[in-house]
Amino acid sequence: MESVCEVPTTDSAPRGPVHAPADLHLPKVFGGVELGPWEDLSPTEAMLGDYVADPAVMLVYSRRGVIGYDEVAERVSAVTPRDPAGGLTGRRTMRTQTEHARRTRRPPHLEAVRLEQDQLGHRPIELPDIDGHLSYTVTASDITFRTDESPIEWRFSLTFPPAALSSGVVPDDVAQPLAWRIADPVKGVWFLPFDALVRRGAIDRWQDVRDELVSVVTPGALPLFISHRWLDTARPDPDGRQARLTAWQLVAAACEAVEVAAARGLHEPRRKWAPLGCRAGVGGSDLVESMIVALLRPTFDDALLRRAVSEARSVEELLGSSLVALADADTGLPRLRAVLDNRPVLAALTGRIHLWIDYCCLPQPPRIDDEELEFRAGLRLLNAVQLMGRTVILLDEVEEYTRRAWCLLEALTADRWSNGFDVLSSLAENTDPAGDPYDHLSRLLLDLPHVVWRALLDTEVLGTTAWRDALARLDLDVTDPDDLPYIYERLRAIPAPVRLHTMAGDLITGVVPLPELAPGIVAAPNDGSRPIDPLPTTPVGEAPWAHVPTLEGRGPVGATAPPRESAFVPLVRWSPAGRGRPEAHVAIIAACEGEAVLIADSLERSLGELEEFFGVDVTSRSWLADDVAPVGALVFAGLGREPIAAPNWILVTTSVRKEHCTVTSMLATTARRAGLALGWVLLDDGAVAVEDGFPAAQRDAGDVDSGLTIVALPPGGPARLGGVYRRDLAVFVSGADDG
Amino acid sequence: MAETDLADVVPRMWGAFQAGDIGTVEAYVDRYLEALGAATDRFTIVPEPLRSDSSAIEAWVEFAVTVGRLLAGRGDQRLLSRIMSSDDNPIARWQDTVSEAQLLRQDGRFEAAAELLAAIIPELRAARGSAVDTLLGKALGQAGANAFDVGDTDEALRLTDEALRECERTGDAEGVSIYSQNLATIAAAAGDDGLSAVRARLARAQQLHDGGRLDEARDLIIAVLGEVDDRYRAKAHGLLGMIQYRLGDRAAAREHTRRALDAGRCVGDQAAIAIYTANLQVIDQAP
Repeated sequence: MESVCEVPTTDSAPRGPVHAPADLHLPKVFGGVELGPWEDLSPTEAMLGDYVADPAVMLVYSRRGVIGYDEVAERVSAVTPRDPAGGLTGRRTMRTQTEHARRTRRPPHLEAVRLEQDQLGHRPIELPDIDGHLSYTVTASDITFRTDESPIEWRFSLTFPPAALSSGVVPDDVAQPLAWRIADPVKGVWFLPFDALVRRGAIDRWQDVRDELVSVVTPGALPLFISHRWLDTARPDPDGRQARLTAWQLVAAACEAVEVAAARGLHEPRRKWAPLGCRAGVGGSDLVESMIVALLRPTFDDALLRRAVSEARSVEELLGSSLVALADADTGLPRLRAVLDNRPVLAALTGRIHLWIDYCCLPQPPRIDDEELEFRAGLRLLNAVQLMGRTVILLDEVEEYTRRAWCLLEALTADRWSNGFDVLSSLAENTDPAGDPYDHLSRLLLDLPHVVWRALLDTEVLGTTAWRDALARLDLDVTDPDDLPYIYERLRAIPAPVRLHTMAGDLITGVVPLPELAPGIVAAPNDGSRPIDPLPTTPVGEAPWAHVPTLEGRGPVGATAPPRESAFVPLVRWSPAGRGRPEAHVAIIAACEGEAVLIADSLERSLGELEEFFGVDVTSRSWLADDVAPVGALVFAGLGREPIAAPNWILVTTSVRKEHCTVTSMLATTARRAGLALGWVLLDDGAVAVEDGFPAAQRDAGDVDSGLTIVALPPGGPARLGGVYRRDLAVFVSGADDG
Repeated sequence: MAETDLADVVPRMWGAFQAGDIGTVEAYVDRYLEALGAATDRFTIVPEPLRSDSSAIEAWVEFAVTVGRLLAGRGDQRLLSRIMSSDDNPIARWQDTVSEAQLLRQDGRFEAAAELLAAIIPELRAARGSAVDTLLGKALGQAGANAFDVGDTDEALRLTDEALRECERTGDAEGVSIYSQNLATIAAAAGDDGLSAVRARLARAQQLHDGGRLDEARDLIIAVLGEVDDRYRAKAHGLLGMIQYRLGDRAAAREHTRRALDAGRCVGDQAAIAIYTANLQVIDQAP
């Protein structure tokens, strides 16, 4: 085996002593990078003007003297190219946004008038032909079109979108609860019926409510996992406020579910406009839709629905006021009990909501007899309980919530595994769009899973951080330090984030493979901004080795198997195996270097199976990292271009990158135009696909005149230290900035 | 020198200035004399991260003046005259103040923005000219919005009403549209328009429509139609026309949409005219 690019070199070699500052978590060569004017600048100062640091400087600046991942993220965001959609959002960035939202919040009665005024604008029935460039914005309730040339806004409720949006409308019902398929009790899994919570008016400990708990969720019931912050180390909800907020908001959601079902039709599915993913027609939040699917459809007919509508409308005005204020004024929930006592259909409906709340559903200390066993069994199944139904987050301060280790674990589990989460707010200002905690949490959860994933990769794959240090660098709090090993293990079990968030300032490192047309001559793309070409593929099937690698299977915490050394190298070449099969190159496109190493290691361990499956001899492997959150350790931290002669390329990435990532499309399009045959391994689906002509015995003539530049590129050339930002990738790859 | 290099130099100069090291600032000026003299924008525009801190803004201005004087002492007057001309030219100063106030407002610093505007509005009122025509309405409208956001509805009403009249006088159609809506919002908040209940019911009707509860929405508007005045007549008939269209009553839809269009024309509401004209076409062309 021949390895190349083991040590990044640079065409602007660093001056000064080269040492390896361990706290940078970068290759040794970065010890010589001079920060110059960036040396003493704070992130705020670093944002002066629109200054952007060279990637190598950015990497050192963001890490020198810094420990926490949040702080690294803040520094990265401060000195990377600005993106119109906003930059990397860590907790620190979000804190700034929250402070801004607080400053701009109006007094509540004025905000109410402003929201009322918002309803009084003129509304069109259809979108006419309008001159000029038409832009649009979508909210949870509306889509608004406008042009630069006119102040007039064409605003449509998503319930009645314009006809132009009717062609891509597809059914979009939420799934039935997984819990319905589990007929037998599972040790350690208990749920608290909603009416028990209302009757008690408080969140009580498991030992006090055990007689009221249920162990099986039957069809017609809805399990909700309540994720919340403990407000006291002994009792999570000392004054019962969380119980009141949960109860009132779930009743309001049930009433909305009744209205939506009545307006849309009990068995009519929710619909969405697929291209934008927004609702099309009558619909509610995912929580409301879950209630329709799980509570209404199995047990209601039209007559009962009409009775439920009548009951819901009798409390519409009450529930239309501030739910937080209602809850705050209803200590012990006597008022809510009175509301439900007089509305039997609503009471029966909400009574089939089953809550999982840790304090009620896991035995609490001191634990006697078999309670400890029960507790351990329940703890092991936390993720499973989340998967059984929906996760509802009772949210106050977003930053505080995500700093609690248990809460973060629950939010990430819901985000990655159980179809998202719903938010119940415990802040009165939750109706204020500028301060809506749901928006803040959603924005944070766009990037936070990436930050956590890098922390885990640093520990499990790159070995630069001990697992306790990784949690400390994530700035996570936990009431009982003994919980940390379990929490870490569960975080480790969550696979890589699949949601794609890309920005102009993504850091691209690794090796860009380029098709070799003749020795030392390659085809490089010259139109990196061109739209993605269609990718006609034929599914071949699934393969165990094609699934996204997780960290869970790498051995016990603290004793995981290190990756093989070759995985750390972004380009590896092998001699042909001599079996006479067509040669192939494997190109990995990953979210960061740690993930690239993980995938490379996993694939190389299954290389023989991959070769058999595709009918090829793999003669080289490259990896490329497209990192939206370069906060973790980097092992290569440079970007090179290398000629690849194999007539077949196997692109290894995720399905979302295949469809939407311009880096992936650039590689695929370049290869296809150069006459190469393509195969795909889509890690999130475990799916394998090939394009027409795969495997090819030799390179086709291709269409090298279309969007490609022929350039001289001998193998083993220098890599650009620090990599390049995404916005500069096309220029770098085409060689236009050489010299 | 390349612009990107200057991007490194200015923060270094700023750092030295903050540390009281004028000698270093002077050394940079000597070294990058031509580039700094040509890049006046780098000094006359306060960097965004500093704008939230009034003492930092003050320091930055001092820094810019210092660099301007150092450059002037070496024969390059461009930066200093740019800074000073802003002070000496009232129109440039008013424009800068309105822009600065807008930035403060966007950052939620309503009171600081109000203070800036309060200092120039009397001067604008006393001045004449096309530049003043453009600026006075904006300054008044912005000041009214600031007053609303800090809860002073009386002041908000007074300023926004003046902004509206100023825009009507100068023929600023966009200003008329925006400040009319603002005035309605503020009046409702102040409880001065006598139409709070009408507004609330119209808003509720829109919500019912958006929730697919068309019959209820229709009944609510029909009940309120007799109480609306010119400000809300177009909205009420327009929404009723749309609801009737969705309910399949084309004749009623056409009738109410026509009335909405007429009401919009009566008050010069350009959005109402454009949208209800389009709606009428949809209704007429419906199969």
